Amino acid sequence: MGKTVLIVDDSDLVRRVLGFTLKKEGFNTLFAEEGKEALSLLEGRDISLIVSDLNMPVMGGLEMIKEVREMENYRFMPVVLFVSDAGADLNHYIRTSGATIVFDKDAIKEKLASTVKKLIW
Amino acid sequence: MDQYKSSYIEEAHELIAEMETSLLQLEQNPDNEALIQQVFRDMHTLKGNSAMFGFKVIAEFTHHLESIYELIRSGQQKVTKEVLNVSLASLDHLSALVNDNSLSSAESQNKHKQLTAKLVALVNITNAKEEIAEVDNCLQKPTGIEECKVYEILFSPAGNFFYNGSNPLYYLDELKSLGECTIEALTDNIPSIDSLDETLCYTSWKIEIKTKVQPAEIKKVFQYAEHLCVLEIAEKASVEIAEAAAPAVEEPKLAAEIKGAKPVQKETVAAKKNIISSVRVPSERLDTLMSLVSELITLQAKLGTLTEQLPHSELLAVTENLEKISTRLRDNAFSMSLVPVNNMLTPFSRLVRDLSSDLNKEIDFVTEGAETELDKNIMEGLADPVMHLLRNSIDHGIEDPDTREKAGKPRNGTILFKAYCSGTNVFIEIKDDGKGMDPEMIRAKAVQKGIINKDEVLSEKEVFNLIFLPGFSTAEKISEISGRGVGMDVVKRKITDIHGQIKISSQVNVGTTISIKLPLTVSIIDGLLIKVQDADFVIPLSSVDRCFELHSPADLNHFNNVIVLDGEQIPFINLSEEFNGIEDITESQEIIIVYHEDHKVALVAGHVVGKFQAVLKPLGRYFLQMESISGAAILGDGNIALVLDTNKVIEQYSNKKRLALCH
Amino acid sequence: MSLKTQTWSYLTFKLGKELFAINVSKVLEILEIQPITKVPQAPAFMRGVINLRGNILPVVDIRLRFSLTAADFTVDTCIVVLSIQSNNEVMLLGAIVDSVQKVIDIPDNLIQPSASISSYFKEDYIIGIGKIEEEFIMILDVDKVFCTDGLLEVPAFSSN
Repeated sequence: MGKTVLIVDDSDLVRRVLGFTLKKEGFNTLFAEEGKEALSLLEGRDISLIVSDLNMPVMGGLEMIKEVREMENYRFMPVVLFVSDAGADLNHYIRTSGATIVFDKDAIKEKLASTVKKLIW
Repeated sequence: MDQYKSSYIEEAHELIAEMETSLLQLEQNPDNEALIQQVFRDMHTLKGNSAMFGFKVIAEFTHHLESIYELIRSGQQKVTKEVLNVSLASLDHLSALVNDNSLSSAESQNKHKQLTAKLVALVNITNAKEEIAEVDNCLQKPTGIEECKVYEILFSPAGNFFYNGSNPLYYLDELKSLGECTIEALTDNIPSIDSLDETLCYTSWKIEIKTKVQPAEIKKVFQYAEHLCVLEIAEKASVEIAEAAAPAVEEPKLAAEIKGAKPVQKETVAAKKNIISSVRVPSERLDTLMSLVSELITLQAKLGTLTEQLPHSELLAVTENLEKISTRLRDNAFSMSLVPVNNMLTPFSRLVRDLSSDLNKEIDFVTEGAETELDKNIMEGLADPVMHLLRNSIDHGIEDPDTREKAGKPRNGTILFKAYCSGTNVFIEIKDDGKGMDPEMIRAKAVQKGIINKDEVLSEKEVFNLIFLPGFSTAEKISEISGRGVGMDVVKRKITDIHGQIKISSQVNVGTTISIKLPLTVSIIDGLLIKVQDADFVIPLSSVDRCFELHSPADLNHFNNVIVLDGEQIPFINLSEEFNGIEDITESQEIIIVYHEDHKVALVAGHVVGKFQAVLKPLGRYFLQMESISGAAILGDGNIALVLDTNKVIEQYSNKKRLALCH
Repeated sequence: MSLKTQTWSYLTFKLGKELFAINVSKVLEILEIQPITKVPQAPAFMRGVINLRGNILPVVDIRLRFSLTAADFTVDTCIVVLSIQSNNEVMLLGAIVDSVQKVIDIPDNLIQPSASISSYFKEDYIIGIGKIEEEFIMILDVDKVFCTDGLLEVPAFSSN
């Protein structure tokens, strides 16, 4: 009866860590290595939230979010974007990416669980 | 006064049970102040209640017990094994006293004298120690007066607030974590339903927050939405309050006033108790509530169907609201009768502790999944059988430390009590790493007792099931502990009475595992409603991976029964063939991919209607052996949808295929 | 006038040409025949389930239970809702009958034990045979007819 979160990151280790964190909170998890794969997973499934990295091969986070916001069923889907460039201007991404929440990758481990819980209770 | 007496007795037993749990926990953590506090408080309460109702004997006895914990609390006495043993024995005695406080039998009088003497002795020894430290009320906390400010915040999300997946309630939640909030929703801008664009946000909020943090922090909460809203933060007034535990959080109210400043408190402030206030309710009332709620849900679903056929915007709105409230009411009502398995673990813990020490064995009792919830009635029916199974494990299963060492096992035996949910069932497993059971021995015993024929061929599973037959007992001596196999057949009967099933598996020298499968009597099923020809079925959502439309039946490879999807070969089962014996040959069908153990299986159905939430009703005794159907749900139009246990459907199908291949 | 003769009321119904009776204390209500949701892979005489005011009522076909051939449903076909006692449990069950007749009183002294009249049906199921106005009425012991012990074994969970 849990909700499903889609985790998108090209690092296997990151996917596993985030997956474990969310699974502990009772969420079901799905994984993708980059944006294009993530989009294909959205078809025919009921996904409640996407957690995604910014920089990924093939299709990165920004492009993926843009595509998601064009999809009829997923226009208002909460997206948590994380950025790992040190010194990146988070504000810029907040304003322009279309993501709901933008984190620094460092903060993500501690803040992810509580943020996801509040966004999709 | 009599009506209160039963309340007193009920509460006394609860207090005693709580103390027992705390003491057992204290054994593992002897210095845990919180636990000591808890025990002392409970004793104090029990003493007070007993005195008030005139139960002098109990009050006095409790007083002695309380004195010891007073000393422990002040650090003059440590929690030792002796203290614990006496305390636990005293609790047992108290339990008996509460039920019959007249000490009618000589035996209980003796016990009373003995225990009282022991308690007093313990107290005196400690007091005789040289330094009598000042009894420091460790509840005292230094007071601090911190400055709290009140801010008025205006939060006005822009129309397109939702467009980046945002939810204003998330931000309100974040605010609440900063301090006490009073939230008012400003709904003036919301247009009538006809001109409402549901993708836009029309609501604003006015929040008054009492917090110690700086405005900059408040602003930070909204950092992800700053560009999508108008935010105003203004300071209102200064309030001084004594420091207390975490600030209480209020639910959003419409236009409430914040009360005046609290007076400064200089005296010691007790650490804020974690009071979860509760109300006692006779369980029949809960049962009535639940059945009324179920009827309400069914009725409301009916209303929903009717409204769809007679669209009227106001009616639609009201029906939708009704649906939301009914859902919340249902969840609330059902959660009331579910109790975590944790609540029944203390007597088990105690049994393992006491019995293993009596038998000179060292056994660790480990629990997993204690937060798994079960219907209260089922839990009550489970207590006896589980106690018996544990006794068996301790007595016949786990070997004594020396034998274990020689066998290369750790000296401490482990009994694992595991609870988990799967589908619409709760599973309880009792697993020990003892000497296991030898199927050969069981078989031999059964032959000896004439239960089976010498040459009867039985699978290992069937051999183990022989244990559940009446009059079967392989214990060489009828030990006083587990008695004459008044064991397993009675255990099985009690499990069947609560509509459960029990299964044993075992390996010699490795251990024994007993699995009990229980239904959730009333459960809410989140499922996928499908149609197979004209019949409605529900597949629990937890089993579903995804759905597909089958455009061309040619994709179904009938030769080896697989279908290729996304490059994966997935075996499929045609449900209409399986259930009705006829293959549905209509053009478009739909495929539901479900999980089965560690792989996927495709189920071919006529049509997927959509997600569906309903009350799961059992089919009843007559259909108990239909394992592939776990129950039924009543649809809005009154029709019945059968709920499938996909694992069983797949297993039955595989078995049929296997048997077919053998011929 | 025997002080011991008691008279009970019975609901009579027909299966084919035979007349049967059930003590009214066992009958809760009578429903018109309605669409029955079939439960796949159930034994043939278990026709399925229906929705009785929000509760699931299992429906059986007595004809099939007695190994008679199934009959088509007519306007007279009814579902009789029975209260069955089995193993200290009371369960509700719907039974399909060809047609419901009237409720009649049968004094005990007009009931003969079934063994005295050779019967096509299993003896256990019949409490006795009443003779009223030249007609023989077979009085069913529904608790036995629909006893779960005989009907279905409760196995330990299968196929693992």
